[in-house]
Amino acid sequence: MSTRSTGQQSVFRRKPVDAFVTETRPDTEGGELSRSIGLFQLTMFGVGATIGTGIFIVLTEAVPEAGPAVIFSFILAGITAALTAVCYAELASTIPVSGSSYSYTYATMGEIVAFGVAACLLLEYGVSSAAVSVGWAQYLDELFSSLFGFRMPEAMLAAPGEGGFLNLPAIVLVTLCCLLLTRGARESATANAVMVIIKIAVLILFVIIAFTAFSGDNFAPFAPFGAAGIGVAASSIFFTFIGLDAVSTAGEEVHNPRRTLPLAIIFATIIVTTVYVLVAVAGIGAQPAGRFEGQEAGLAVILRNITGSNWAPAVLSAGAVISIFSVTLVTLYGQTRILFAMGRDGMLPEIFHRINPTTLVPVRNTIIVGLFVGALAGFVPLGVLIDLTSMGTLVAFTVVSIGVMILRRTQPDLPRGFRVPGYPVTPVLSAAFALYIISQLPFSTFALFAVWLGVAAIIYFTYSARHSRLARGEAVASEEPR
Amino acid sequence: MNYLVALTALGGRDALSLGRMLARTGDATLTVCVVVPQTWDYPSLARVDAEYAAFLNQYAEDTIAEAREFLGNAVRAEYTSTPASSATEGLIATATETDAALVALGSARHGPLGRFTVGGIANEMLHVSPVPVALAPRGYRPSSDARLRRVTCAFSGSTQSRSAFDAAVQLSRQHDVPLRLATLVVRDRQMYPSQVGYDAERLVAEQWRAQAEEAQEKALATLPDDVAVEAGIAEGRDWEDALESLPWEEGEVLVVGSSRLGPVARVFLGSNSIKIVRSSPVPVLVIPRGADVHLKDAAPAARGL
Repeated sequence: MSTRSTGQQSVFRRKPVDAFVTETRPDTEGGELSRSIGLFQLTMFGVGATIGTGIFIVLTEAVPEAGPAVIFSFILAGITAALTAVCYAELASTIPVSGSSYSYTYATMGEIVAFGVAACLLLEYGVSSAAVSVGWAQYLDELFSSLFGFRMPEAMLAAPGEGGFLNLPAIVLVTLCCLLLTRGARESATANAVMVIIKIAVLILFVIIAFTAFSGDNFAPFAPFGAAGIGVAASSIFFTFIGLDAVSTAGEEVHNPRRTLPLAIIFATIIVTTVYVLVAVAGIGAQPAGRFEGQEAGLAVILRNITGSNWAPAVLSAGAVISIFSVTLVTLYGQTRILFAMGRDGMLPEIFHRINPTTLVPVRNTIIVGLFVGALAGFVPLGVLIDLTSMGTLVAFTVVSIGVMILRRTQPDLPRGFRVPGYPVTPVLSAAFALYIISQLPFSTFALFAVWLGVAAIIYFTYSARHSRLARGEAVASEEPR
Repeated sequence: MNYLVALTALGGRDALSLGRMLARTGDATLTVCVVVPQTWDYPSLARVDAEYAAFLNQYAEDTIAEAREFLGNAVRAEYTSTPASSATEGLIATATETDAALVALGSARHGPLGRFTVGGIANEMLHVSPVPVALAPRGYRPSSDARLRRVTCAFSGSTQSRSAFDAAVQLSRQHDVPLRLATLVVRDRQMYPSQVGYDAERLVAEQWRAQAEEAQEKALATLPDDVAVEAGIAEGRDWEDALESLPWEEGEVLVVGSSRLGPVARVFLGSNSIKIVRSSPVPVLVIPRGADVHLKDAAPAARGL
């Protein structure tokens, strides 16, 4: 027993579950939050966290890749996301506190894997909030245009690679969200529900208006690039399904997780995929596939072309501006809290987990995240951001699916609140789908991702491996045999 | 050591009770002050102003007589009425004149019993007072022989709370009562939906607790050995919850600091302090920012009563 409490030397050291429990001290006496989330609410969390991240901007990228067959890309991406979310739920239920996949991996698969997953999560949260704020900039411009007939100059509306100088509105959005976060602002469950309604209402409005201009001819070459095109588009689309994993992290707080978790994941996936497919069908029905390319604030432009008036694009743009704002706030928040958890584990310098005594928020952490995401949003083209986000998310998801299988073999007796139905088919399929979609990403994304992992590895071996609290034997003080 | 009590006909008793409680120990005296509107120096022909002045005098005398009766001989007290164009002005002038170590104020009448509600005068005093301001909750009535038993300092480890800490130490030494450092850990609301699990804010709260313990230890290490002190952390869903989780004694005051945004050497409530003031079940003493606090020169200015 003394060998473990003096610190574990391997980079595969695992954080004991007890340590998580001590860190978060779940209130047992009041239990004000415990087991309070039901199926409906959880499904809505999933829908709310997912819709709005990408559907407003992704058609521009995806339709040129697959043609009208993009519908199948959405379904493919949706199935993959749902399978992974189910695997994620098993991993989440093996440790009794809720957290991100970083925490789960740290407890089950070891430190270096957790660090890699965290590097991927930085893409999933940090880079995706940059991507989403670029989309916000497009819709803000569109809103100004339909309300006041005023357009922002291209130089301040696009990244250098896309004929601009910098994307100012995107930087402003990230700055605003970070300011709110440093002041301790929160989006409540109620605010989230309102946002979900706004998003869905706006998308339904789009579908209804777009169907008035429906033309079956637009579907004529249905899959101009064949199955390959569907796969490529699915890889771009995948990032619109980020957020579905929010359902899995609820773990402890859910009534009867064994039943509720998979049902909520399935319902949320069905709702989200249905909405996406409807939007795609309506969009393609309204204009030929060839016209999607390079269309900024695509959905609003389609509405303008159909109605010839300004009110419809104005309403849609306003909805997009509001809901993308809320999504950015939530994603940035998630990013700061992941870095915070890493800071506490000693994987990152102390600056990431110092709390400002006045605002009681990790202010410096938030500022660093804001600078990083703001720079990405301002200076990197949207397509690159989207592909990088999909890459990071898919890799993290693959690790989760494989992790479930590894754990079933190495620690079969670990108590699990929720077990994947259809094991081992589900995790195998989930990993296979994810790997297939990854293989469709462009080479440049692989190169960037390799650089990214290289940087992460350098940070890990020069700093984290030495400062990790586990390595120094601090966090295991309260450890008892499990 | 002299404490100033701001008196009005309606809300005077809360402040008086607080003054009486504070003045029982520590060689302190009270100055009980009624601020009356300023009148013209030169009488007008019809003498209406003189009538008004006489009415004001009568009002001040009545109020003072009531206060005198309420306090009895329990503490040494001086009574005065100050003419001034605003209550705040009069109070600050009197505080400076009598070298008061603090000004005791009562709550606004519309607030809940047992809590302090900031009224018009308190609002002004909380922005400009150069001396600490003591706030009596509405309906504050400790038993008539109550005395100060303990001083609690709301401590966050920030620079602002440093002057609150110094003031609390001085107050506790002055009155020879134990000192308690209390750091409030308020678990922030969780963001929904969460992509990082639903324990994220607990993690933050726990980190804050660890940081607060560290800061408390540092602050305690600077104290001389003769100060009786304890330190604790109060946790809750909100400020009221956290404050209520602490045990309070009858004769207790809570000391808080001023915001760093306010002017130097003036009282100015920050966003956390105002929440503490609103939810505290005991009187709150607000210390000016960066104050070289007055409490320390114990020169008995109004001793000669």
